[in-house]
Amino acid sequence: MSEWYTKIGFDGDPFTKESGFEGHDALVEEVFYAIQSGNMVSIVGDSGSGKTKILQEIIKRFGGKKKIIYVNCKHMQKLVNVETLLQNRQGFFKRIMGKKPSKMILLLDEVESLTSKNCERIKYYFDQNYLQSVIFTGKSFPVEGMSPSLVQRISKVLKIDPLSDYEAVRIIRDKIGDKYLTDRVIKTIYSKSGRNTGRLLQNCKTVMTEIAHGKKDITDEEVEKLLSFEK
Amino acid sequence: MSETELWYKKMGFAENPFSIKPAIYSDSVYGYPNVIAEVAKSIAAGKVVFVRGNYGNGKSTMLKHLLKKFGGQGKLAYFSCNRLEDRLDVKRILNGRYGFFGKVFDLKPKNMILLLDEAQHLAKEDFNAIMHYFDSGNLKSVVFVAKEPITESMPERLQRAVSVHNLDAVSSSDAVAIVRKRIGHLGILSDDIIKDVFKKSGFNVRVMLKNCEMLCRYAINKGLNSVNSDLVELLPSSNEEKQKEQAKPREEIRQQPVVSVPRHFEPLVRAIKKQEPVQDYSSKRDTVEPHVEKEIEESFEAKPVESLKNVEVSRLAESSKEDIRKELLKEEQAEIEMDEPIIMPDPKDPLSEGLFDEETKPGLPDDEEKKSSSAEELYY
Repeated sequence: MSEWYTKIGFDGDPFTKESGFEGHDALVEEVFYAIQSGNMVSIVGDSGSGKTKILQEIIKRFGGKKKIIYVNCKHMQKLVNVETLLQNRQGFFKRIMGKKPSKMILLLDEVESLTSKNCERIKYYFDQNYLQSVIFTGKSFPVEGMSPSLVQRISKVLKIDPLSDYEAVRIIRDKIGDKYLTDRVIKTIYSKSGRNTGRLLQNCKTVMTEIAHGKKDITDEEVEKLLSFEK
Repeated sequence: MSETELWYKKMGFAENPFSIKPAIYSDSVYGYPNVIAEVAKSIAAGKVVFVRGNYGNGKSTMLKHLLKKFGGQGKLAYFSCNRLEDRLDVKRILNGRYGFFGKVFDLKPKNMILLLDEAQHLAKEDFNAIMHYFDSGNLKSVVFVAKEPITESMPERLQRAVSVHNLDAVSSSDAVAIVRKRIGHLGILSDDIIKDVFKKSGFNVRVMLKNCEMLCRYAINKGLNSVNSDLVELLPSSNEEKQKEQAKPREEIRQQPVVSVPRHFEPLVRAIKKQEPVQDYSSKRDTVEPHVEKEIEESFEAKPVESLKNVEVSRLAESSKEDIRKELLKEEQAEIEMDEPIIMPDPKDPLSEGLFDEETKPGLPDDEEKKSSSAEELYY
């Protein structure tokens, strides 16, 4: 059986493919500023609100200079710590000489699972200017492992606001083009998803699957029916 | 956002002048000249020193200053204990002085000075190891730095040898000097404004630097020539200020009657307030209607609990007030001391220029600074 997206002419699932970055202008500017001026910043947002997307955008902007380290703290095992991460960035000879990189930018995803030991290491490397800037992203702030002196060093806590309706429509249009779903329908789906980008994509996917299976036009009421059935 | 749009580039700075990293602005230290002089003296005399200070009061910056002061002879080792995996390896730090060969031949230098940052991470075994090398003459002097008192976990002999110094909050004139050191005599922040910001930041240098950065950035981006006092008031208030704010409304609540009591129960309530035994309660109870009975019970339950709470709240409020008052008193005393010209020379004054240069050594050239900061343990 062929997948739903092949029926309407997509090669791959349009909702899993990389797409452009929309919205969060003020927040992204704030993060860029923090990186350039050498501050620590914490980004707080629910799952699916676009935290990782923002980090990807930063990587795009500052990448290519061997200055950025992106770590998902969930995958950081006990043995892997910030110290080894920094050292592994160096070439073989520099590592042998015990040199450390300077002015690195550390992006930490899902800081909930960051250990207090690693927090202390980050503090030390930040103080010694090995780390130019650290971006913490997670669902809450401050996290359990953070000591008060680290919290004091963090200059700003940025909350992710939900995207506007217009930006939500732009994201979906970027993925599926203009052919399917009217703007109005996307807006209803977005409000139905609780203004959460991650859930919007999921719900759009279910609606699009329905379209691929034969339905031509989808109205607001039908969307509501579909999504309430999902829940 | 292009890089030329950054506020500090517009002002003509290459980097953020309000950086909170101790490694960047350590060539000069303001405040507590007595403590630094005493610590330096006891290092020279070969003693063990423990320096206490709150977050962001400049403990690490003081250590960096000591590094500059005593550096250059290869006698200093700086180690931040929050990097410890398990135990403090004093031997490795000592061997590291001779690089690769030190490890192979187990070479240990004599008369080393060990600076330990964040010493609250040290355990009893670490102190014993330090004592061992101290006795054998490899270590000449040790400086511990931490926020909490750590002397209790030390072995007794070390406890007797150690001399404790406190780093209190710096005075506001020092805070002005710190900011002036970083941005020079630019008109964007006047002295009074800096003092206000310092007060708003709870007399904490690090928070003050953060706030100054925020203010300057806002002012420059808005095209203002200077930061005025209206902007300062917009700043988020620090913990102490918050306590002050919280204490006031609670007191007001306390004065208002909390539970409204029907008139014929007033003698009862009075009795409860005086904490006298209530005798006529049982006799009255028979005549009371059931829905009113509920009210009595409520008033019985609610009244004592509320009054207890109020007592606690008022105590809290008083204690926080006292704390703040103490802080302010300290602050004033410190200011008076600071204003004496011998201790705190004015950079503008031509007479004290020589003095000033001696105290605050000019920073190293850029290349040298980079070299020193990229070495793993810092030897000077």
